[in-house]
Amino acid sequence: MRHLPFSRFVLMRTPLVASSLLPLLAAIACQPGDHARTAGDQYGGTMVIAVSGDADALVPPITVNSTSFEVDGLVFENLARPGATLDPIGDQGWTGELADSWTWGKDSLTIAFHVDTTARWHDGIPVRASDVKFTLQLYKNPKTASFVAPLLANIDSVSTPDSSTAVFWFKKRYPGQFYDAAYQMRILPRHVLAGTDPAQLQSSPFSRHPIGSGPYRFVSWMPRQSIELAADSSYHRGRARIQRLIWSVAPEYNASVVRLMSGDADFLEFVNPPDIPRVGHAPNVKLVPYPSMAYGYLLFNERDPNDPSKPNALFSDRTLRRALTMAIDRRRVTRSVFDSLGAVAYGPYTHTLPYFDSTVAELPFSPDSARRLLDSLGWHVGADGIRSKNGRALRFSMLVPTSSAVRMQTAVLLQAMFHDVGVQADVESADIGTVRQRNEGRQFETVIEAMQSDGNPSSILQSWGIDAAKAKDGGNAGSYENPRFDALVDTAVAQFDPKRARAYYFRAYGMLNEDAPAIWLWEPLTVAAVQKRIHPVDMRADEWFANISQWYIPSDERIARDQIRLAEVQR
Amino acid sequence: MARLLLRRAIHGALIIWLVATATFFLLHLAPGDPIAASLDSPLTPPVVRTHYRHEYGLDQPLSVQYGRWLVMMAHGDFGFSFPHRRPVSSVIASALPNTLLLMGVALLLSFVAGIALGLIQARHRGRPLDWGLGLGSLFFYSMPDFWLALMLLFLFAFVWHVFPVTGMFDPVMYPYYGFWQRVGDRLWHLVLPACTLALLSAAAIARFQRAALLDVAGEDFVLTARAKGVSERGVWLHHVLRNALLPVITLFGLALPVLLGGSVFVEKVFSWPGMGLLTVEAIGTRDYPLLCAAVVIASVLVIGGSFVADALYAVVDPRVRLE
Repeated sequence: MRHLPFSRFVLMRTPLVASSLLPLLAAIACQPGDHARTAGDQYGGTMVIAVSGDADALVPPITVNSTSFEVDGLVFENLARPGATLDPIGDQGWTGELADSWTWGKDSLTIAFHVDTTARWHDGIPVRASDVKFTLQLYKNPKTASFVAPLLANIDSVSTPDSSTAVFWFKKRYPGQFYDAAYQMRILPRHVLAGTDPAQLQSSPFSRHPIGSGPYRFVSWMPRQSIELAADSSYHRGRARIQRLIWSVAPEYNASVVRLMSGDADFLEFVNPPDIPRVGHAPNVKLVPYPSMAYGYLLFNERDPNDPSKPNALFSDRTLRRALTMAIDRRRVTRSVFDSLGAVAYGPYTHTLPYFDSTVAELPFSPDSARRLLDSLGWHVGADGIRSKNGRALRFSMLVPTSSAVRMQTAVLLQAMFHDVGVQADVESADIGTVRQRNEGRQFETVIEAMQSDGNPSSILQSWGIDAAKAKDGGNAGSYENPRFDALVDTAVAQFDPKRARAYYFRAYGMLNEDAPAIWLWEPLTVAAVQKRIHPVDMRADEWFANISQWYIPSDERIARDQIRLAEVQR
Repeated sequence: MARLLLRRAIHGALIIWLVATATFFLLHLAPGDPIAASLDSPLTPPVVRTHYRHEYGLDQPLSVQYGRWLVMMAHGDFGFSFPHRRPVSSVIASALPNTLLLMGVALLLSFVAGIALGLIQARHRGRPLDWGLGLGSLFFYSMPDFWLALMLLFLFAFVWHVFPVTGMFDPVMYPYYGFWQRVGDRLWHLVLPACTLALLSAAAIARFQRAALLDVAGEDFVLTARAKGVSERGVWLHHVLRNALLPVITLFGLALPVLLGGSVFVEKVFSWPGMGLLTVEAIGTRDYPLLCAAVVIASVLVIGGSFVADALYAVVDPRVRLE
């Protein structure tokens, strides 16, 4: 699982009123200059990454914010990495990272990873299988309180028959075994961390000065200002091309845009849609659209907000939820909010994922059908244009964080569409902390949520499964419960054949659309901005920085900050 | 005078305690907590949130949390910042000097500029220069601090590329600079945020100083000085200005809260990693210990500034000493 904060939604501000931006993006992203260079002139240079927040702790098991996640992703390594399809079943398309090969046990209850014997920690000590064993123990230690630990529940242990072989022992055979073993954990150095109390990991010196085995090694961290990494010349999979990476913190988004356009920064992961034309016309900057794993939806609370033990008087009714869904023109909402930089969401997954289902039977936009359904339920339009039944108006609130202009704007559009069918939806804005707490306590009627998928389809149960609904502050805040849905996902998770797994997942997605526990709204396309001297800038949906060690700055395009001598960086 | 200062010190301590207590309860009564704010994904296992809430005592009754916080504060322990994953004292230690530097420079600039402008206006009373400067100071005085900061940023950093956009130093070159280059780089980054704060305060000081100077200029001893043949420059500098500075000293105490409040916005716009920015971020992440500590420190600074102003006033004005 990958947990990223949803700050990008906070950054989105206002709708696009300009005509379609996709042609602009296509033209800008394909500008000449992304041509191949000889290997010799590719090494060197500095890339400044503008970020809005500082890192918290640079220890992968407890990392929760995006800057830490990015830095950790380049300082540490997984055993292996999935291909661009991000398929979580089996090991098809995976490439070794810290492991150079692996072997499945005959009963499929073990996977033996062979650790690359040329791999070294950044302090020069060789990486050993014992490091892998130690890492699993650390992640699973309750005192570490890693949010990844529950995802490792099916891994029993790691044994080390020799110094370069780490054998994972599983409690049961399941399709996601390889994903869990190879990708959930970033391997940590036992010789550095063995004496550290897991409970003190976050305040340990290691968390401020990590030692990893990845393509970049840690150089310095000036709290709330910058973090610097340098390419490790002895990296076992080949030295990264850009010599220095600097995360430069500027909490004000507009300041980051100005820094990029003025040349002070080289990379901005996310450009607000309204800023795209302005940034795109800067002579030194190119825009790079890349796939996103984020999506937004209106969540119905199926429990009474005042007494969660009771069903919600409105939203426990499946037919009512379906009627409300049919009242919403999701294409118009998406177009109004994102212009051409967004797509309609089909469910709790995005186009970039291998288990995306474009054939799922959606509830159609049909205000007339919605009206008929509401009439059939006894909700009749009164003199004020609002429906009521037994003296109660069909009225509810939509909780929205004030910090997200995108969600605020979405709420207003939904409000108008609901009103067209005689439903009064009040926009209830609150600060993000309040929204989070009310979400956790199930104290809302509806809420407009934005989620970042983790790429693993099985995690759908964490947001929509029965266990997550019954847990006190589980992820299923709407308390949607359908045992058949859970059974379908459980069956899908147990399939070793990707085609069969996909078929079960698609049936589960279809059921979600039929039951309408939420109105699936939009998934935004993400656009990054980068200085033109940086090539070739290919980004993945799960980790934009995954291929950064292949990016380069040609020697004839380097500027002053690229000229820092290697010896100085290697100090 | 010692009794006066002692009384002020006791009042100050009481106010700080009241402010800190009110802050503690208001923050804890508001929705959300640092754990929910940091571990906000629905995909975060509930057991992890529960673990951290227990570890930081957030599952305890509010009265217990308050009692424990008071004891910790009495021992000089501000607690642990979960979003920063560091002790609060360590977080503040890295931010407070930055704010003091910014405020100190801004304070110095604003008083020098404000007094000078007030003097020029008073000497040219009723003339176009007085009108022009008065209009200018009124313009800046009535301007929102964040807007001024954005305009300076836009003009000097983006359009003319004269000063750097954000931060306290150049993140790329700073580690490779020598000592004096580092000093220069820091000063270069200080210009825009310090000038923003100074412009706002200087405008107020100038208006105040002008009025004070004109009051004093009509006194008999000024007439006497002129009658004795003292030059006009000498009259204004040695007789009028020296006596008119007295009420400006009180402005010192009043300028601190204004600067502190202004620094919140200015630090945010210029990404200046000081206490103001830290406080804004802490509000977003519901970082209780850090927010409480920031409020206590701000109270100490404001009350301390007022205390220093009172003390200075007592030193320079014999009448206060007698009272």
